[in-house]
Amino acid sequence: VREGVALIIVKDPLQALSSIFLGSFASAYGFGETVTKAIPLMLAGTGLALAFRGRLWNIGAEGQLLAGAVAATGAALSLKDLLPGFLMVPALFAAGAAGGAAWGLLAGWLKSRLQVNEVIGSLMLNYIAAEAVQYLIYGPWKGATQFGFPYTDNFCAAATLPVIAGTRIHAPTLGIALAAAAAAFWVLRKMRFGFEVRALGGNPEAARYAGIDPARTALILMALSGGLAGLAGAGEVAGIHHHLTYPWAVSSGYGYSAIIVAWVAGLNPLLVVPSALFLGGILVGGDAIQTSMGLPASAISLFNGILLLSLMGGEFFARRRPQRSPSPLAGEGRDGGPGHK
Amino acid sequence: MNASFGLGAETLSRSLAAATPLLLGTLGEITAERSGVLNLGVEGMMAAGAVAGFSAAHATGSPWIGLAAAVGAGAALALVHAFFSVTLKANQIVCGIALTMLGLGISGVWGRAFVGAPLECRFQAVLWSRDPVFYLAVVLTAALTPAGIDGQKVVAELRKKGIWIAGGQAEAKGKIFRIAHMGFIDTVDLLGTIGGLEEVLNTLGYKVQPGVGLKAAQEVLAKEAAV
Repeated sequence: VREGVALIIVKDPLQALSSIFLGSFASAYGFGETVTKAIPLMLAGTGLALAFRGRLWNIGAEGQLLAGAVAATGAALSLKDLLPGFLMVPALFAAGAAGGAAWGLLAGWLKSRLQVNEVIGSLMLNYIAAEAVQYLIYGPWKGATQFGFPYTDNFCAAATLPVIAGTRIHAPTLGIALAAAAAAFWVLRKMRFGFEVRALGGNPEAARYAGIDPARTALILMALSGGLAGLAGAGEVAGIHHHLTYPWAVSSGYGYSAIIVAWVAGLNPLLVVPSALFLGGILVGGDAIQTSMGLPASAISLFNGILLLSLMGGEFFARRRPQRSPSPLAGEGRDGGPGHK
Repeated sequence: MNASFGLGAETLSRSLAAATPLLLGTLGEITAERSGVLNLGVEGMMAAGAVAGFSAAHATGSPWIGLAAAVGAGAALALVHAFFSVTLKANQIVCGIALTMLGLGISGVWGRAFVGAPLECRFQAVLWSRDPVFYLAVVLTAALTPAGIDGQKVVAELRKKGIWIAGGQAEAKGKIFRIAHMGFIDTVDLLGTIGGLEEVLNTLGYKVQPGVGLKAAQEVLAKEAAV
């Protein structure tokens, strides 16, 4: 068996690749699944692209997504008899964004007040969030109507999101994700805050000297990227599961995959949209090759790791590409002259 | 030991076993971070090391070859990290996460063939029913110097005798000294160091009955050899 697995991996990478992408893009069902998985990746990836642009290394999208799912579930369960139906969905998304933002701010506060490195802080909070979800579904929130399964009770009809017929694509979340990517792009390009983020990302020392407050920017970035991941969590529970369930079922690693999404997009929020579709396709194709080629689920993790490393290797060479003629003045140095690199 | 400490000793023993992978992983991470490289790929390196160690031990019947394979697998992934984050100057954080994915992927793909496979060969317990890997993790002892004695002077005086130990760093500078006891260091080295330490403490003005430390150390070593 072991030899068989090794042989498939060495001998037929092209077949594996084509299986992945045929499975996720070539059929209506596969493409629907790809878009479904791209929704949380788009939201979390947009937030991470913003944070990474400001050199804020938020590794906690996974936990922020779960915090959003918990907050949205709390809203759905507690408000079901209190709110008119048409306000339910906005309330869920608001709660999800608030929950994710709060979880992000926790890491931001640890960084700005206690000088806790945000990589460590946000990463550790992922584990805490996953354990908290487990506690809730096995403990106080365990549903009376779920036959003993560790799920909360199902959301009422007004708190579930409409899907595009024949798919699991929950349209409201997709709309929010596309709008968020466009808004983040606009903020980075046109708004004062976006300029501050880019300044901090370009040269933190110069940004500080120009009067930009790094602690304040970090807090806002953590709230924004956490809030976007929280929206993704609200979408997953309200659009897919209709209850809170195991943390690995709510997220299946979207918060970590979103790091690749942001990186593949070159930290450009608009490019996060195709990049999320690409990664969503890999996740769906991963399910396809499990059945068609008998590869284990972790083959996709392997694939993603290699993808991310190849990307970083590629960036190295892209940085070093010889400039054609960057400005008219530099033109003199061409053909091996002193100005030529 | 069990009789006198009861549940406490059992808890301690299990904690030590559970702490072994944490301690080894942490020592590696500290070494990497001291050099300025953040390594978020530890998880992947551990997973790859686990599957390499298991499959090598399974194939050869030798836990030591398994250990070597595990070290080799972890080091190979670390080399990938070094190539990307040091040579290519890529982002360390993203690179570390890529390595975690890669290592978990490798272990899942390669290890699927071994799910449920029994491992006939194991490490024999060497001391206090712990395997040798546990003792690899216990690499040094740090000692607080008595009030009024400068730890750095202890280190300097011992070096005059040809015995190399280390002092404290940063906040601990002068307050502690550290004695390594892994790798090539054997019982004779340890006894020599403790004897030298007695002399040095006496010269620095802290009165120790010569031979007290040696006696205690020899008793511990004799007890361990008897287990």
